[in-house]
Amino acid sequence: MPSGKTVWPRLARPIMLVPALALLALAALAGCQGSPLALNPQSPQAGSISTLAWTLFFIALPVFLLVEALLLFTVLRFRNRRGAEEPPQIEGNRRVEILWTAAPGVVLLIVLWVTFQTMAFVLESPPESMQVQVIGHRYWWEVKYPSGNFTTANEIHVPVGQTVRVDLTSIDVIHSFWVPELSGKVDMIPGHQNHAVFRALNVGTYRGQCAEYCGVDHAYMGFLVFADSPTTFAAWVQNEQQPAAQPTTAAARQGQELFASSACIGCHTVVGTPARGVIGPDLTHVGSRTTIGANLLPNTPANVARWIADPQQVKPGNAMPNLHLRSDVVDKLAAYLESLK
Amino acid sequence: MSSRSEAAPAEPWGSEGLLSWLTTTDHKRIGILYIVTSFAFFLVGVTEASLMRWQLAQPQNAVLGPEQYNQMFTMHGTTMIFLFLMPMLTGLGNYVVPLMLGARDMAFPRLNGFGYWLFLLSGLFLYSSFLFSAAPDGGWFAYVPMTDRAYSPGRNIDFWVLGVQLLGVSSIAASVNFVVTILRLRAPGMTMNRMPMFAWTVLVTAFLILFAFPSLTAAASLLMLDRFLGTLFYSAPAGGDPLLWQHLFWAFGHPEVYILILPAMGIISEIVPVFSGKPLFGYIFVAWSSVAIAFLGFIVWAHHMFATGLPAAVQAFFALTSMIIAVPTAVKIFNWIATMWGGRIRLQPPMMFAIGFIALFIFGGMTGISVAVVPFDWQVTDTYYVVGHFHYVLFGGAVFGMFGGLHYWFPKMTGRLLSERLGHVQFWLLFIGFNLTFMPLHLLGLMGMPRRIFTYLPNLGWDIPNLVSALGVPFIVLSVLVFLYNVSVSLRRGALAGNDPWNAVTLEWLASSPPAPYNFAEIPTVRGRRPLYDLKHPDRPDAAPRA
Repeated sequence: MPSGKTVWPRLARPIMLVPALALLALAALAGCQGSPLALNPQSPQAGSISTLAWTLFFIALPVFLLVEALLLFTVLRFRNRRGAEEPPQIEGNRRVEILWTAAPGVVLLIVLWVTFQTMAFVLESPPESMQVQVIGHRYWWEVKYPSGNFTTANEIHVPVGQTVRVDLTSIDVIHSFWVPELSGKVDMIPGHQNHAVFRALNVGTYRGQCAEYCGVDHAYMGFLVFADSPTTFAAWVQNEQQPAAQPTTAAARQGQELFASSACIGCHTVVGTPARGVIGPDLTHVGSRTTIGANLLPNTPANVARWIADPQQVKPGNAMPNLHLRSDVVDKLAAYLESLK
Repeated sequence: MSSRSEAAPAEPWGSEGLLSWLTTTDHKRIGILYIVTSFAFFLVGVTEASLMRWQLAQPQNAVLGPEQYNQMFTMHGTTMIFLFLMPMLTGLGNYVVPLMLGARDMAFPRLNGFGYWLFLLSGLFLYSSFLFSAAPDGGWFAYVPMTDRAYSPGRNIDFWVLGVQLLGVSSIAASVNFVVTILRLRAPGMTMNRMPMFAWTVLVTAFLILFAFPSLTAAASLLMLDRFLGTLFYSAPAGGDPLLWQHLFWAFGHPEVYILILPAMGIISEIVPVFSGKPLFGYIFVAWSSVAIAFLGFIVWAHHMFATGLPAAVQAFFALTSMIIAVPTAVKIFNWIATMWGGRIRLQPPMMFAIGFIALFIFGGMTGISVAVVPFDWQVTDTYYVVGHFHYVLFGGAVFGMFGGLHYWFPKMTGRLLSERLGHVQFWLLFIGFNLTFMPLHLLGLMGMPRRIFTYLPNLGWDIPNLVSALGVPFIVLSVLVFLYNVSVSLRRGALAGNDPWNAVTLEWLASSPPAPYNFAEIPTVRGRRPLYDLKHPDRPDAAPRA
């Protein structure tokens, strides 16, 4: 065959630059921004998937470049030239065809092997795992700690270094639990119990988001996982197990009365008070959470007031109606909720 | 063969004017109706996609509200699959296959007309939902229980489920027709082993439709019963199972992917040999790889469900089958390149689109293997990585294949050539715009951006890739406009094509351009895979393959 050998390296060098540049861009984006990057694993489970991803990448890259270069070379080398004769009419070559049928098969066997290895590792759920139960709602996350007998929402705390088994289901439609840095997706399906298993390696806050289209507010169904040091975690559990704090300021006290005598208690629970609703998030310690609206807004008195005044304006389509409250009532309710540390 | 197809039934309303088109049973006219209608739906689908990319170009943009956005992606997917790609490829098949086979029409000309009109009415029915402010909003996959009456009380899903059922009937009608036409109406001497590769892929696709659509029909029927009569097939609290929908839907949905791509691969298998001046390398391997893809396509569906908590052994099985399907796909790629190797490659627009198809399909095929890798899929499923992947296969593949086919057969359909210069401009605009729009999506998926979100918060690092993606859209739109301009100008002023402008080898190029209503005055007799090559080179015809 004509001069394939000399043309190849000349073509190959600029082509090799493309993925290198793409990788650099990826690294730059990953380094300076707060993406929940699947390739920035913070648990052994996500780590093994990340390793698998890079393994695949470095198997695929040379194959990809080789085939694209072969295509490009063929097109350029054999493009029509004036006065060229009719090419030889070759109908095939059984031997090379069998070869290029078998070759991808061999590569795929290797891929399959690493796939199964990683599956076995990620699916492993040690019996001593800590158990957390997360139930999907449109559009927020109910979080239960069976061992501590308390319930919270949208913010999951786990101790660093401890394997956690998150039991997942849904009360309405299908949602999907996903914290890219800690765990791949596990769907939350009504009538099914699924599990995500991970062990956070470093103290930190990890962003999660619903990954199965679940309706109008699918985009705004986020949550956070806090990987705490064991002492911080123990203190957090200790606090969560307490009934709601008694308000100390006048505004908060008035807010408490308003809360107890209004529609709020039909949907929300505040342990230690008459509020026993189970439709919306448990608010017993809502003041201690960092965000509201399923990781939509920072938990500040102004944002809480904005939410109470018109939840449909802040997060259109969520289950809480506009209660048409006067602004002084809103402020007192916000003061009360913020006091529930 | 004993049964010869007679000339098409006499056109009751003549051969000119609107009424003749409304009543036609000529496969060529029905083919053109399919092509023009589905292209119109393509423009609608592109518009919906453009609005979505515009909405996502910036965080918390307000081009579309959440309800509108959800309707856009539902109708974009439904349109591109059911109202554009399937009928477009049916239209090309309708026009070309009988000509390629040396037949005078499809086996059932009236059923053919029925299929087209039902497709048009179903499409209009689906889009009439916008008039009632009730456009479907459950995604093209319409997962229960979200699409049950309890969570989607409006008429939106009713429009979708009925529209899709009707489209299924239309597709099945067309498929029955293709199967009978291809099996029964080939010219004398044209054994299966000598049949053009496009006819092979249309035949395999027709069988795929016949076996895959019943699963969709079953799934949709149960959903209709749940919605209209209050049954509880998918209701978990009542003992039903939401996963039943997913199994039934994807048992259709994955073969559907091959329904969309196989005919495009057939087009590529026609174009590449003609523009390389060589026969297709490894006819048998290419033909049987389609059959292998079709068979395997029925046992890979659960790779859409790796995050649903299926038992590990089940996931392992579907990972295995999904990877095996890459083998016959790779065979096609290598055989196309081998066809070009040592040839005289004419880089005219049909060939440019064919090469573009191969280049992009290599990438889409490889990311396809990556999503068969179960743990990797747990990270990327339902993210923009998957959106990037399947657009490389269905846009980079099927749409590039379609444009290649339209450029290739336009002279046959109209008697005039498209402008080559505009064809090249269109190709490069599309190639650049496509990569600009869809390459960054892979990155977004790995950066944690889920699909089907109408907006996102700033500071997640998703702004720049989304902006780059949006910047590719004008290139794609411009490319489509260049094509439309090319068609409109060339229809009137294009150079006359003659019967065989590409020096091609299959029987459609024996007929006049455009062909007479009866296609061939005399049915040709075939002795090899390239009947026109044999005619042009009586001194050295192809060695006839075994019958």
